[in-house]
Amino acid sequence: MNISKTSITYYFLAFSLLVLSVWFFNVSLDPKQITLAYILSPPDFFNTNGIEGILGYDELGRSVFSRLIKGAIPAFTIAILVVLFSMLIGVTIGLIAAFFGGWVDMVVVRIIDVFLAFPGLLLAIILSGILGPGLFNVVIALCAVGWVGFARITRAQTLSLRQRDFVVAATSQGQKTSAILYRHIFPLTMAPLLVEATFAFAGSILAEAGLSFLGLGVQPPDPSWGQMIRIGAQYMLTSPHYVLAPSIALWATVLAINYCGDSLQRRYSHLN
Amino acid sequence: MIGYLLNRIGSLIIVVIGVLTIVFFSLHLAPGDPVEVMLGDRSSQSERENLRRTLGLDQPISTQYKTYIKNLLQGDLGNSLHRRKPVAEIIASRIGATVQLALLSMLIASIIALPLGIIAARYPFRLPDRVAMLFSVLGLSIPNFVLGPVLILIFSLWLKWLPTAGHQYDHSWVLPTIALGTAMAAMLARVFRASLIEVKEQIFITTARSKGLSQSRIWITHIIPNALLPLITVWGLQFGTLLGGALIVEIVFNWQGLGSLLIEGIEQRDYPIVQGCLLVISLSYVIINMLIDILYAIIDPRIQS
Repeated sequence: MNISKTSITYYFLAFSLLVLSVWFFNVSLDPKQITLAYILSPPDFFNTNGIEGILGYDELGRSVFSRLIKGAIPAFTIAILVVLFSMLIGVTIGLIAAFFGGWVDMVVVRIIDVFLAFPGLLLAIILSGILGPGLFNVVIALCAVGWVGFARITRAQTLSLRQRDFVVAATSQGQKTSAILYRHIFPLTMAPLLVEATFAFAGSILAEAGLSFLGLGVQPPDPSWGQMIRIGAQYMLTSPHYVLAPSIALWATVLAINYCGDSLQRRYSHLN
Repeated sequence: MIGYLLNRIGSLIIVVIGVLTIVFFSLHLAPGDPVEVMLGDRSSQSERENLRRTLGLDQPISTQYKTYIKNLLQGDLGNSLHRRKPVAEIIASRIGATVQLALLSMLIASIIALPLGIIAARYPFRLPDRVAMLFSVLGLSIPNFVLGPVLILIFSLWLKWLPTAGHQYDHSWVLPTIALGTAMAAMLARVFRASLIEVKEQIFITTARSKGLSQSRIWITHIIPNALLPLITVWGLQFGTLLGGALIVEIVFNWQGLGSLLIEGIEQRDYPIVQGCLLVISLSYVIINMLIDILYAIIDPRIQS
């Protein structure tokens, strides 16, 4: 874990910097400010309108830059919540299934199989369609899909760990099951879980944007990237800036997170 | 082999029952009264009672579940509220387009991914590998609803080579399949590369080399066929991702398949349609994966134990 600790520090620093800059712009920008004169006007790099005009304006004359920054907040909030809750649920279920074994394990494996039977976004789309739009419902819908990955990894890791000598030693010392799980097994499952969490974070941002794209996520007039892409696509021919700005932002964000996941994975596999 | 088959079919049955149950309860999960949601605020009391009776929602839930399963076994998915036609009929008219889209995307993804994986594995950790894996990360990170509009912008609007949407024109399949297949290509290329590198280090490759076989001969007859095996499973799993992605790509390109039907169903609160699509998509995914597992066991007898 020593090697990846330094890299985690770097990722954490980069992430904090990102959050700070988003927060900084967040205070000064108004994503709902409508200026009719600017409807669909292209990016203005000479900044006659200040930083707000830098990415142009949308179909109602709102600053694309402001909406991009403000749209990042629900995306990140949702992704963080989804990863946290999915991890909490998935790790608990995975630990319990693997450590108790027997019929508990069998039931959990079957439940996981059933959830895996719904391809990717499908269940999330249906759930948020049924629950109705809104930040909280999106989190529920994505967690319902997201916990499975964590549960599978934790279960597999724990199964291989519980055979190890130090677990047997701890058991023979008469330590409580909960203490063994928490103190001896869980820390060793951290590295693969961290990799999974990074990819899940990217996946959640993509999924939230996908749901918003379908009109099932954040509702207008609040900005979100998926929604901007959908509406921007309608003005693609005359004002390509409108669809390109959120598209590139989303792509770059997911790319950056996937890169982190990749290098974490590489470090982790070197450790093994 | 027979034991393996029975085991697989046994777990398939459990999964199918689980899927049916989740699909059944998805309607009952809807907040508030689903009938009210379907009919809207301005519906009269008698209209609601009528619909409730038609849907069987006035029955106790265990009876509803039994009726649901009984009808399903007879191929009856209920009637669409909005189109006033049997759901099974509507789904049958749409499923072909989605299957076409998914199969073509898979084909395109494989055509891109296999050479990419081979190039990367041939020169691991060197420039060709890094370039190929860069493409892979780029492709994995671009969502299909971003790639779709960008492709339309470039190839339909600026270059005017391909139609923007629909599926009735000669080349209208090209852009949707690329939009849908890119992520799969990226994933396949990675898995294939990893698999090739693993096979490359096996002892039988050293044997082949010490026999004096040429490099290309070793790759074509020994490394590639063995490395393709794990890919079969990935194909099956990615098929599910494709079906999920098709939901969005079909909307982007106005492709008249199951995905766009499902989204229309959600927008119109046409729950029988939503249930029907959910059922058909997830069941086909489960069955395809089971067939692939069995196929895999036939090709590679090592995994049966």
